[in-house]
Amino acid sequence: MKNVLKAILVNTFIISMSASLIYGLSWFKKNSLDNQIHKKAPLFTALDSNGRKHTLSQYKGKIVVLEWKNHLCPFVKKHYISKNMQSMQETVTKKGVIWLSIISSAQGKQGYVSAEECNDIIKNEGSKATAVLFDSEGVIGKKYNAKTTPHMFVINPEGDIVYEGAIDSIRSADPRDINLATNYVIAAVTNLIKQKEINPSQTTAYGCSIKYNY
Amino acid sequence: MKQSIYLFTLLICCLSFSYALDTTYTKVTIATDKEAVSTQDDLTVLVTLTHQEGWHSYWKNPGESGLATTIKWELPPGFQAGDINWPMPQTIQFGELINFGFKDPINLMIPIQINTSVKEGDYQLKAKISWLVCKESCIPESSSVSIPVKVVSTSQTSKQATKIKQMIKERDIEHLEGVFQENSNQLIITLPKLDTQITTITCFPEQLDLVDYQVDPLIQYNDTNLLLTLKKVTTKKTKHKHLTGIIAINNTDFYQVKADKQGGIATNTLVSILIFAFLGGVILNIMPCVFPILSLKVLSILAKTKQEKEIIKKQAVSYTLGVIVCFFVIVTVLVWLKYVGLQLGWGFQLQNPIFVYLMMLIMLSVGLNLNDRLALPQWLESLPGLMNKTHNKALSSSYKDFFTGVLAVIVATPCTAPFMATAIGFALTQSIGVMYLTFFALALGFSFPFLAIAYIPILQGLLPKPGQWMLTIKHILAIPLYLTVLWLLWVLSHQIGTLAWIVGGLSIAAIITFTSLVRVSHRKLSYSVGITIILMFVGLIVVLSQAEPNDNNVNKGAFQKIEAAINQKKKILVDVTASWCVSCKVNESVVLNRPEIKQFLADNNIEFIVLDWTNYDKDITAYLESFDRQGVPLYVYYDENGNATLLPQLLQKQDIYELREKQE
Repeated sequence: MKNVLKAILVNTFIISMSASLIYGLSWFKKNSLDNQIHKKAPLFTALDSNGRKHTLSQYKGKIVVLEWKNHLCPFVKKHYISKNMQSMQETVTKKGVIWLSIISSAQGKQGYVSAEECNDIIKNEGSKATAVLFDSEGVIGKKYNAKTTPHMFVINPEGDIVYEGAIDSIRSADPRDINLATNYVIAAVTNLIKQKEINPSQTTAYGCSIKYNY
Repeated sequence: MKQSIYLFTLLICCLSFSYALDTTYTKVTIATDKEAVSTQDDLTVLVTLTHQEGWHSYWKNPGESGLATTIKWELPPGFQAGDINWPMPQTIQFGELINFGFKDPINLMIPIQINTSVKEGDYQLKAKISWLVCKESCIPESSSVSIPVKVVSTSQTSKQATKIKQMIKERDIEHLEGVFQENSNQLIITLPKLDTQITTITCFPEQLDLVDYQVDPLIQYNDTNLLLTLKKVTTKKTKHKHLTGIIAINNTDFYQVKADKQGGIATNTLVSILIFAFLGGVILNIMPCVFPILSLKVLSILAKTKQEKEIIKKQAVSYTLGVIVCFFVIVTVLVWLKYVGLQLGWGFQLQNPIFVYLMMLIMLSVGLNLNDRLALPQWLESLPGLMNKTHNKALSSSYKDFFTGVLAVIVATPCTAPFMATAIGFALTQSIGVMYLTFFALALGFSFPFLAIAYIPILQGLLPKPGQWMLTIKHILAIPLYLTVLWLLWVLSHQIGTLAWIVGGLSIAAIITFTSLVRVSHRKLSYSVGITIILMFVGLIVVLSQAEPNDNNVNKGAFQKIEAAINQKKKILVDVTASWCVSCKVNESVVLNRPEIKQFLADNNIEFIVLDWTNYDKDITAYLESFDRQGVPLYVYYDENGNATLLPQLLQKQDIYELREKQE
């Protein structure tokens, strides 16, 4: 009787332990995925300042950086006059990254430009962006819930948003702060290429409000 | 030279010191509260920004766009500038963006401390004030000012002194201190209840990257507290230890709020949690799942009492160790799961059909063993010996008791969920240390009866004399186990539907048939039990592959329904329940499902919404957590204003009838 009891105890213990292992594993298969799913980057189609059509899906397999732009906004000026934005664009596009500047200012509002004006601005400031896209209806901006200029997004080759938020860590319109700040976008792109964890992956963007046509 | 600057400034700025430096959109005036200041006193500098009509600038948290006004000081040695004392912020909506700032003249006050080592004389306080002024578009402006200060032995107030003093007094608003908790998408701030009838609350958090300002805070109450639920902008855990900010109630009453991250709990709360956990552990012994096992243990003591008291003590200790270790394994798994980021509440184990199925098999095996129907093959019996190569008898006996302890906890887990979910659920919201402590108390309580019998001889004397009746008792004790098996099968059927009855029925039939065979021929024992186990696993695999949760549409749209009802100012009673939750079922049959209660709810236009947690559901777990709960049952009543009240977990009809009074 004693032996039997002992055996039952051991048996049940072993069964339950192995079972709980299976149980735990199967649970994880189901649930761990949820935690890692990034937000899918909304797809869009837009014309650039040269009248060419760009779609997000055409850049699948490449890293894409989205930059919301309004050339009159002091926070955008901070990064363009100091040439910080241009050097960021140059650094990452050299690595095969697609950089799209998006103008979501509605017609008649600050930052809205015609294709010609836009090309002049690009030439003057020496923008190294892959393309500057027009979104005067605010369709792309609202899909991404872009709030400020600049508002930055980094999209991985699978089409997931891996970083969104501010361009850097110091919230100011003063170009002198650029060198003191941590550049979140460069960090995100570098870590994405190195397949390291992106941290922070989300910050609060700072800048002017995007001049949507509400 | 300094003197002449001072005189010059004095000349252009009237007698008492104050002067203006204007930018395109803003008039800047500077004033101090003292003509001359002694090192014994603080000086207060008042910076007033007056923007042109329609323009605004920002508070220290500017909201979704914009930039906070800053002041950069360049002070002589010995002078120190404090933080800006801000006016109460306003919400400024721009399109769909929510910003925090000011439209009216903005009075910023800065206290300046002067070290006692500063010698008497004239000093210049230099500052660069920068702000972003916005209307449709934004313009960064700044102004560099130089404020002359005369340090003397006795302070002399200026003309502005009364005004500044008055402003400081006005801004010294009431402080509310509380705690906050967070889940994946919400912050829940617990503050003391206020006397004011609250219709709106506007939150102005100082932390920038935390709160989604687009979503209005959810206002709830419990007995003594006001609970504010804010939506977070990210699902990441915040690193902030404190949340600070201002809340405006009904747009008129401002409160300064500080909430500490909940983690440290008061000692007396901790003590009472531990006492409850201990008592819970003791009570667990008479639960149908555990009682038969414990009784077995006691019966084995009965047989020995006279000669082997020392052995009993050893047994009790090994048993207790087994219990503690097993509980700690459970907590560790829980801590780990929480760390990985899974949202779990206690009872989650019963949300998994495989677990339920296995528990069912274990219960059945233990029950059959009590009926002397099931024994185990030789190779399994020799396992403890293998583990313990010394073949030391005393040690192997300790192993046995250790495993009895482990087994007791394992069979107890389905019973803890229905009866103790709330207590354990509370422990789960606490820090890791508190969680371990709570489970330790629970383990001690659980093994307490056995320990008590082993160490208190009087209790042994009270036990009845061993005899034939023990066998009868043993057989009777199998009954609650079989009932538990049926109950688990019923839970399983709620999870995976009819399949449960087939799998469960087959498994039970298989086990019973084989045990009967075992009785006929002992030689085949080993084989038959082996085959039984294989069959068990076949059944298990079937369940595994079919473990898609039974998609009962109960929860679909329930949250939208709650939201819609709150928006339509309807009264709602939310019942969060689960098939495996016994107290939920009791409440439902005794109170909630009674015709008179249904009638009462209908008469008073209280909508009844059920959230079913039988299967794992992230949203419901988050909902439970928003009320500080990690288990069911939970009953929430929302009045017309959307204020939530929690009802007791053991419902009485009276609790429902009292809702009528709450409406007035």
